[in-house]
Amino acid sequence: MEFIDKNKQIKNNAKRVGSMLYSLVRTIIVLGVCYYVLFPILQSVFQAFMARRDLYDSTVDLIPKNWTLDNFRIIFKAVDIPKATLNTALISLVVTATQLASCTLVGYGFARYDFPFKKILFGLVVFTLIVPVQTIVVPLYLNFRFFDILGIMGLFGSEGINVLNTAWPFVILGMTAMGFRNGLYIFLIRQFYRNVPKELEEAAMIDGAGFFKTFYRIMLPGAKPILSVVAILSFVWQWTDYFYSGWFASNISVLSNEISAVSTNLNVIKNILGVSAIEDSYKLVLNSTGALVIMIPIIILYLFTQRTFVESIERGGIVG
Amino acid sequence: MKKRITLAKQKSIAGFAFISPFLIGIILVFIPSLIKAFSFSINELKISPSGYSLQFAGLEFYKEALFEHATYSKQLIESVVDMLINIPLVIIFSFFISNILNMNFKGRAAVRSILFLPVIVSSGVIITLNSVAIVNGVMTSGSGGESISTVDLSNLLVTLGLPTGIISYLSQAVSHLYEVINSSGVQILIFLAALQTISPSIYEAATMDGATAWEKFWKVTFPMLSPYILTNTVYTLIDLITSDRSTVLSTIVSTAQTNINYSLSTAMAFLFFGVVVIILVAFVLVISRIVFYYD
Repeated sequence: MEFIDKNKQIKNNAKRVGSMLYSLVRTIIVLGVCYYVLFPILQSVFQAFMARRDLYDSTVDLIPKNWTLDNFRIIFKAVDIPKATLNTALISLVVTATQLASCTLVGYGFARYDFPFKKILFGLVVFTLIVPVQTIVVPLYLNFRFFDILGIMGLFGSEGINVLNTAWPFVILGMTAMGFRNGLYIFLIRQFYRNVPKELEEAAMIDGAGFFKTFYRIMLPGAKPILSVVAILSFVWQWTDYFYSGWFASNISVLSNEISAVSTNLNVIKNILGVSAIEDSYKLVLNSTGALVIMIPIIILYLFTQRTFVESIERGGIVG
Repeated sequence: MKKRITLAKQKSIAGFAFISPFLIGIILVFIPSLIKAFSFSINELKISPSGYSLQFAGLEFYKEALFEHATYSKQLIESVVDMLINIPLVIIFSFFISNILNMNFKGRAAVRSILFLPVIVSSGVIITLNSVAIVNGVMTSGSGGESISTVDLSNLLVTLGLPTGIISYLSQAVSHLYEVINSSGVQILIFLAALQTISPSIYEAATMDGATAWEKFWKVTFPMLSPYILTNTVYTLIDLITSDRSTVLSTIVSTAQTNINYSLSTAMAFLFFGVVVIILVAFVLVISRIVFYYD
């Protein structure tokens, strides 16, 4: 009797040690992965607060010895940050609103209605995703440079209007679901609606609501989680975008273009600092500071929304 | 007498109405632009204040991109190698991490939020601004010279007598770790979501039949997740070809914007697109062999 008990105890102990070892390994892996994600962000934060003389100090590796706000002051002097932030926010809002509206309609249509060529058309959605934008950007640029709907103005002998550096390119691309990664948004919203029970819709229709009313009254409010994910992604990706704004709005000052110009156009910085040369390592510091200036608003946005964000993607946002 | 429209017909009309933004986009914006882009790549494009003109050039620009341009063909090959290395790594990494995150432990929610952070903060211009800093930092990747740990690792593997192909893949994998982790956010969440759709009753049945944890992983979890390997592969590829880390893309952009050679840039973009399609098809063919559909 005693012998069996002892045996059991040993077995239990072994099990406990095993599971402890297991959770130890798990913790190490998880911490390591988090480190890899957080380290570059921390590094850029430390650099942004580092004084210029710390760069010559060989004992300073990562954490600055002399904390300073000078780098931020320089960035704010070189770039009109409030104006650029306002422009960036306006463009991002326009892009988010138009892309969200069009992708929701399209995603819902693909999820809930049967119509001819549906599969081919959805294939085209994926196709728009895998064609790099760089392929079609020159024709798009020319379209907006000499803008003309269906050649109507050509009939009157006009060359079309220049809509570059206005909100129109962003509105047009957003409303026609042709913006950055819009195929992905359509895909996400479609997967979400495929999981919503059909009975809801049928009940509304029996009560006499039309197709659009059913969508607007019943299906739209129910999709808040996935719509907020799409809205955040669309907003953030436009916030950090320099490709679209570089092509279609190069004269409008937005954060991404203005700040990345800082380290290439060093004369401004030299004037501000009153020096004749700037070391490469200080350019890096300025880049990090600039990146932080761009990142801060979206990190704050993420802090407030990360719960909804992660949960709604997990709970059936994507997997159908 | 008026013919009544059937409900099915009404529904298909409503369907078209709902997807009309996309239809308009693809017919008026996307397809014309794609056709125009192709014509730009085989013609020389000249832009004047009043319009633009084309002069036929044949495959001139494709040849120039591939054989005469200083860096393009090298970067194209590099990007292919990058995709071949990164896509499997991202898939494997996110697969295992999602399995770990699916377990119950303290701080799970925080870890998930952290892993999703790169989707938010390492996009667009932030990558470009930070890329230099990172190469100079601790996490040396590829171009910045091999870090010490990678060299040590490959030496160890050579002494173990592994084939050189595998060794170079593994040592590449280690140096890509930073990039892999930072581009796995969405994929991890897709796998996590998929894990939660697996009914516990399947695991219970497996336990009753005496399956070990290892067996349950390979005989239940893996097949049930396999459809999402395909989804994730397509997503990873799209992420790679639209991300600002790609050197090919920056060459394409600078050829157009800095050197104002639109035709060459478009030809480069088409070549890149062709390569992407080939890789996508190859991956889909390989992966669809292991995919298992439950229903």
